[in-house]
Amino acid sequence: MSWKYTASSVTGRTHLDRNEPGQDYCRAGAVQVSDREFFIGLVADGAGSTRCGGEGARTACDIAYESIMKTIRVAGEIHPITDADVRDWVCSARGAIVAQAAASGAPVREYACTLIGSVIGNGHAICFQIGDGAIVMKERDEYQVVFWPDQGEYANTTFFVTDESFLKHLEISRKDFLPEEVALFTDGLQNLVLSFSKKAAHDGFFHPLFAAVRAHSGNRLLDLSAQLDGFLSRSDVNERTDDDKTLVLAVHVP
Amino acid sequence: MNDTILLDQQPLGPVTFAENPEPRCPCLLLLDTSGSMAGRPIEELNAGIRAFYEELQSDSLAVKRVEVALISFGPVRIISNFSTADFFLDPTLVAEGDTPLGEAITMGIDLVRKRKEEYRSNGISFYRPWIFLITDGSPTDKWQHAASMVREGENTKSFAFFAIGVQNADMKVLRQISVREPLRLQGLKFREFFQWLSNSMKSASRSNPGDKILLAPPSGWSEI
Repeated sequence: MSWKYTASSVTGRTHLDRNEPGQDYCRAGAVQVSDREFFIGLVADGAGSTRCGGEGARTACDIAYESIMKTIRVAGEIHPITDADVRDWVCSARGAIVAQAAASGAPVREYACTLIGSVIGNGHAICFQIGDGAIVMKERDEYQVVFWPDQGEYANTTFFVTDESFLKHLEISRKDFLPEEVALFTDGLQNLVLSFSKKAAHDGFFHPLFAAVRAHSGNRLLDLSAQLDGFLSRSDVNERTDDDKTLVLAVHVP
Repeated sequence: MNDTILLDQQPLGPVTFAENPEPRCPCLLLLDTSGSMAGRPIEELNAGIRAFYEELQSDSLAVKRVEVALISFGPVRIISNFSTADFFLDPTLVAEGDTPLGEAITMGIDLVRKRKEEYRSNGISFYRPWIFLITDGSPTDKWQHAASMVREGENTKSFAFFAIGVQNADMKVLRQISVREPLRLQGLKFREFFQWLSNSMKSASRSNPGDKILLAPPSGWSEI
């Protein structure tokens, strides 16, 4: 068994207009432990009002990725992984951001970012999330949203890894099945791919994209980022959002 | 929305997007139309409001997201409930009556509360509502209860309340009502004020999670 996946992050119009870099970041990869292959996907969105949110997002993904790999190599399975392990991943990411902020002399909140992650393999999956954006998984032939995006009361507020109360907003979910398809994305896409009135994932968005990933002849990381970048920058996408947009897609191949 | 994209060698079926209501950015204007506004003040106010709607209509995101409600006082009337700028009815406000400022604020806060409930029950996300009070006089009714509702709303971040004094407005009372420092309009620069307000609404309506809503400095229309 193995995984095919692709990841893409494009800068939104708001940042392009202001000549600023994008503030989203993502990591996706497969790790082999004995005869099993685990998929790890992470996306993070740096807060819009910060100077270094994009750097925070990068650190969060990179450090969480390393921590998850270590845990997986020791555990060799998903099911022994505890909530305390997940909190450790997030705490190590946060710790690295705090150190980064201290080194640059900027307040930690200038590095504010969300963090969403998913680790899947050998019949199990574990997902976690702080802030908005979402994970969508195929479960019994339906696309399910793992955590509904955690927004504050207002559309422009959410929760960050850098918040003092970050553990209060950390959500963790386990699945005792192997999702064949999984997507992780930041809030720039959530209004296009989630129906807020139905509180559901929009099949018409996910189905064709997963079909394309599945049909691709490659293995593991697919060379699809140029096409996905092009897709995420299309005018009909930009008409609906001017935020950064990040999408990780993974498909399990038996 | 129905075109296809090509991913590598494989043609990809048409991708569709979830039909999703835009997040709303509500703004309530409490407008003093008491007798003392007669003549040029009310004319300039009417012209300013018209220009405000035109600005919002010409912005593709603001026209979908910004919702404006108008309440005029004396007497207190809901001129327009919350709606997007494309439903602007172009009311011509007439100066008459006294200045029931307390009643206008209470009714306005209630209107905002109801609108937020409607957003929630329809699964529409929204930004923190803004309330702008514009007055040229001093209240002719009891305003203390209204003032405590404003403080309560600001404390719970239910809305942001701004007070603008015109000409002989009682700035001392406005300071007791508004938690934020009230501003005084330069002369009758309503148009400049509404230009500034539409710019602020446009940037607020496209702000992203984590953005702090920072109003541009009120230059060009306020006395410092």
